[in-house]
Amino acid sequence: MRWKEQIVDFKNYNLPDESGHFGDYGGSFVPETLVPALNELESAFRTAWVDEDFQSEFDHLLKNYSGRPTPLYFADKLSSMLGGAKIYLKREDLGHTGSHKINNTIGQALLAMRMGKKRIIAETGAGQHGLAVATVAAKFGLNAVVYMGREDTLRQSLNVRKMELLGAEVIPVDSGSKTLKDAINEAIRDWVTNVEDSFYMIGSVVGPHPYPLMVRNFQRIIGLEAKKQFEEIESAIPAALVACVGGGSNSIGLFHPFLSTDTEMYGVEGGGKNLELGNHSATLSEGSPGILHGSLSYILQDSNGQISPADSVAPGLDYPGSGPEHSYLKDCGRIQYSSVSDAEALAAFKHLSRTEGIIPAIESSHAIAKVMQIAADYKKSDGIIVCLSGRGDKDFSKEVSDGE
Amino acid sequence: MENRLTALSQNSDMADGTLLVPYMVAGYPTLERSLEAFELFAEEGADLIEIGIPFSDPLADGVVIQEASNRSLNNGTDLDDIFSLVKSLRKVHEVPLVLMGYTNPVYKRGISKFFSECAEAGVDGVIIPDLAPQESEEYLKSARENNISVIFLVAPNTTDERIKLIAELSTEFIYCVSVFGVTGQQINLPEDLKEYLERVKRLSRRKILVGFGINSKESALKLAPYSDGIVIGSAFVKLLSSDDDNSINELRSFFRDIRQSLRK
Repeated sequence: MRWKEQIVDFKNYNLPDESGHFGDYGGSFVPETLVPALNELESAFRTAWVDEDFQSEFDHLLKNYSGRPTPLYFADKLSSMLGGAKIYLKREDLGHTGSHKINNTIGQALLAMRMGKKRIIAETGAGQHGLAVATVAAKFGLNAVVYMGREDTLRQSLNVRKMELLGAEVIPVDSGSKTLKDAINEAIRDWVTNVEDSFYMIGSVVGPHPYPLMVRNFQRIIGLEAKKQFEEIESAIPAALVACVGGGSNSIGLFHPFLSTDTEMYGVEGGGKNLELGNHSATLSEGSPGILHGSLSYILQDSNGQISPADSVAPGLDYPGSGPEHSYLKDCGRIQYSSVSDAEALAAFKHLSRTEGIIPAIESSHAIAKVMQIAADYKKSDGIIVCLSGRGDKDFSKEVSDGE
Repeated sequence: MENRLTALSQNSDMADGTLLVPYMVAGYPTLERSLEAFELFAEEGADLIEIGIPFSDPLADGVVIQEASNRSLNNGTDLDDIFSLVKSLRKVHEVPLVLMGYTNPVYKRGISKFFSECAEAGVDGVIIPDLAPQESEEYLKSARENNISVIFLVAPNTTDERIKLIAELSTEFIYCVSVFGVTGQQINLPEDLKEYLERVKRLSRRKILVGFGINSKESALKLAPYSDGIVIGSAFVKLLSSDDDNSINELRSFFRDIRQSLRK
């Protein structure tokens, strides 16, 4: 089935299956020590997800602690400059901690407490997930240990300071490429060692089952709100959705509630310097299926199955893996994945700042760059929703300033 | 031909002593030097040898094997090299050989191609720490077609029900991870280790190999009464960090000492 478009009835789309597979993708490729922990997590999640008390507490915190719903903002100036579709920005940057990552960490923190786990392990790339973990850990009295590639601690030093202020322990990772991939390796090694008292709070729709399911469900609020908000303004569904994809949590959160509609969807990856292996993070558009961090999905690898380092100006996209559900949706042809280069993302970073007075995260700037390319292909009556997944005041590293 | 692991499991008895299972990363510190190490293990009486396939992201391994794997990969070691190495060993030695590596290089090679190459080279079994039994169907099918054993791992927190499932999928041996953690850590072997190993043995009715954190004659002897075999990896890898004859000699005397202590 792989490699070719499949006919899928998205009206009845109900993946993953019970064993955590999205078609061929997903599953659970982990050391045996983690199997009981994943089973326990899955059972706790499935119970909580249908529990009204859990849902109402989750909703309450999203609303009152995190500031949901986030606005759906009509970017009128950007739209008229591009001369095509009406562009709406889903303002995840306005939520607490400045990105969509808080949706997931609130959900997982509630789950950790139900499971009686007091120690939280996490990885972070840009620091946005780590910040969201440190935040909920502070609020709920949990101990957070955040693994972060040494290189990322340097280019996102402000987030390191914020995490430490909130009481989290940030551990720089010096193995491998010193970025997100290696931070996940270290987080998993910690989890294998401390499996009995620790909860692994993964930040994206990656990893073994049930993480891709669970994180998606916690992030679906983005798409559910956007759908309702767009309907209220336009009395229609959007013609297209655009979101950046690293592991793919903000994008699946926005896309998932629209899978059964006719809306076109664009996942935008980090094209890095160029599309030669090692110089980019365009896993879905340039990679091939393989097993990394516990699941089968598109990855960046060499001909021997060794994982290739990724590269991107955006630390949150700088990852050689992708979510298994994205891998499935790519093969189905339901979502179009492509990449924009570092230079295009930096140009979009500047452009949105100057036209709308909104400084986007360098990750989200990839989605802005894509909408700048496609807006004119749509009618003026069409609407496109772009997920503005995070704010850019973290992004004044040397690379970004130099690019600007 | 009968699988050498089958013969080993049938002919070995705890009464005769404990099997010694050394591990080394292929291609570390160089391909030639690792071949010397594997030859040394065979000459000095290893019962089964684990040949590590290096992987870029070995998440069940501690820092010693991570670094050794990186060095091997920087030398350009690939599966072709490893199958050639196995063929060289097979010209002289009949000791059972097991490849130990992560799922992705096997998947990328092509599952059925990998197992037929194993058979052709003279490999008897594989250990794939991140291949959970529930994902293993296609791998097991190819392994069986090629008369290759798949040795699964169990951990101290593995449930009774799952031990039975793993035993059903295993032919001769089960690999018991001694502790929570990755390979090569300095550990105090837990008090309830005996109970855990006895539980696995009783429920699985398979021979059990114990590994992770065994780094000395003392720790090997402590575990020997409860296991059919002892796996030692990081401690041997550490000794071979220099690509010189002196390191090989040190490795030989360290190995010989443990070998003698495990014989009855």
